[in-house]
Amino acid sequence: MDLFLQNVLNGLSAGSVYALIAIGLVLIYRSSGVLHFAHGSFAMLATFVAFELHQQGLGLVPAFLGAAAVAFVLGAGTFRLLLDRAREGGSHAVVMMTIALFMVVEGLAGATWGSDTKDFNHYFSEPGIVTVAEGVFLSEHNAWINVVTCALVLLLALFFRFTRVGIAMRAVFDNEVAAELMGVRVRRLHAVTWGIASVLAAVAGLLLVPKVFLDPSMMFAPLLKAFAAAVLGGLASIPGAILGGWLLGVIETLAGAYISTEFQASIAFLIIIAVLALRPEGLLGRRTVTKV
Amino acid sequence: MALLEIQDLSIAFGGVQALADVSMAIEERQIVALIGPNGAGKSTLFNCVTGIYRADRGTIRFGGEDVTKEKPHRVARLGVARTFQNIELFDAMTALDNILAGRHLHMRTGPLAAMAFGRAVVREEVAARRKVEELLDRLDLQFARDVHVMHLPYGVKKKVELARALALEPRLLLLDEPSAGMTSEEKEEMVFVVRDLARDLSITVLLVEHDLAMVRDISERVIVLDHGKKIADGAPEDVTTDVAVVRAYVGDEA
Repeated sequence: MDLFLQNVLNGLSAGSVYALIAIGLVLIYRSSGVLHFAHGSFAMLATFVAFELHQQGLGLVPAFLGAAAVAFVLGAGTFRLLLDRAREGGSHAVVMMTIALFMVVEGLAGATWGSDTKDFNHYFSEPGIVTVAEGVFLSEHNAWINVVTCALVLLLALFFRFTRVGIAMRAVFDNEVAAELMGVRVRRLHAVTWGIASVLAAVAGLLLVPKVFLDPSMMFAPLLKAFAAAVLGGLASIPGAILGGWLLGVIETLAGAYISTEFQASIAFLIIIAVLALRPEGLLGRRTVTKV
Repeated sequence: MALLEIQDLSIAFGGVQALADVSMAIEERQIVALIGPNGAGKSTLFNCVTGIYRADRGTIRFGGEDVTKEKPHRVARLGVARTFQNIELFDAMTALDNILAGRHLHMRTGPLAAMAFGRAVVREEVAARRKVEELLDRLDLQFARDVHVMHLPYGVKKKVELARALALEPRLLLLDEPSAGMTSEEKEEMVFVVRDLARDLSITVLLVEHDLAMVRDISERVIVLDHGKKIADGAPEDVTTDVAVVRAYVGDEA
């Protein structure tokens, strides 16, 4: 039982990373209707920026803040300069644009930092152990991932519930024209949404990097799983994305522990196939009814 | 000087001339009704004024400023608020949050400050919420406060939309069929609400309305559009008996 609990907690840590990326995917999709395939690459780039700043002698905290700032500008700028235009070309133009960005960013990162893997061990990767309950242990790193994710989710919830910008964002998600008539600068708000989403992805990258190695394709698998998590939750629902991320992380970890680690990679996607076949709107998604 | 001055406004969609050289001047604190058969160009005129459509020709001046080419959020900032014929609320949000969204332009804090939840942010949020509570009281909407608007009945949605428009503290309020789909009691209430608002808050009101009895009750002046042209403009009792108007509504045989 204790081992089971421990596996669940470890699964939640894995899932937290998916959730942070998935929240960003949902935010971007809901605000601008874009499926952002370069979302993980932006996270990777921000992680490299933190690494580089740290190499240059900056402390970890300023290096992280620098990475977050770069992520925000990258996200907001990408919408403002590229996707806002591409949107006019329809969904295929948008998908091609984000896939192209994904290729370009990974290519540039490879050219700049080389494609050999690097170690980026920071605060979260100290090998400490936290005792959660009797007989249930969690690595300090996983504990940190859970704490940081929960804190960010809470902050985000407060932001959407209680602040002017948060309420305006929900208004834009819901009815763009009406929001504009409330005096909301819709495009700027889309850009801010992209910026916030990219910062969340950067945090995910920084949380994850001690576990994997720092290299240009480090976020590829997490991005796919985050997409799966977002779709599992309904793609348009933020709580759904969080739930989807955690669910995916836990199931994956349990499958690795009780079935086989070889099965681990495919179980997540088997579940996606099952959910989409049986409940295509996702777990928390609303079924869209088209009038005929 | 008139609050809203429209000069020779024209706009066409494909081959259809939705508005043809329409001119009008709405004085401050007037309640003016815009009437006309379906497709006369009433909603098009609203969309031009609020910046959703851009006119092909002509000018729109609001408070002396040329707003012909302004974007919707700029027009809103200058003091124009509206409601829609088919209700455009934020369906997944509560009545309270819908009206709070209407306070947007009266608040300053940026996204970074908001994330930090500083003192100024809290003060501003509290002030906005106080204002929204006032509006909920004023329009008897407290019962709907925490209900997601998609679950509210039609007449209540109309009132929430009105409250949201009022949250902008507009100088000019554009109401697109405020009483459509309402029961006769709700219509009567709407007449009183709009008249009281215009008087208490010194708001100028331009409304599209099909119910001629309501038009007579509510407005001091009536403008008639037909096929994108203005065909009458005057006191309600004169205009509603005007030959051209009756012809536009009922056809030539009348």
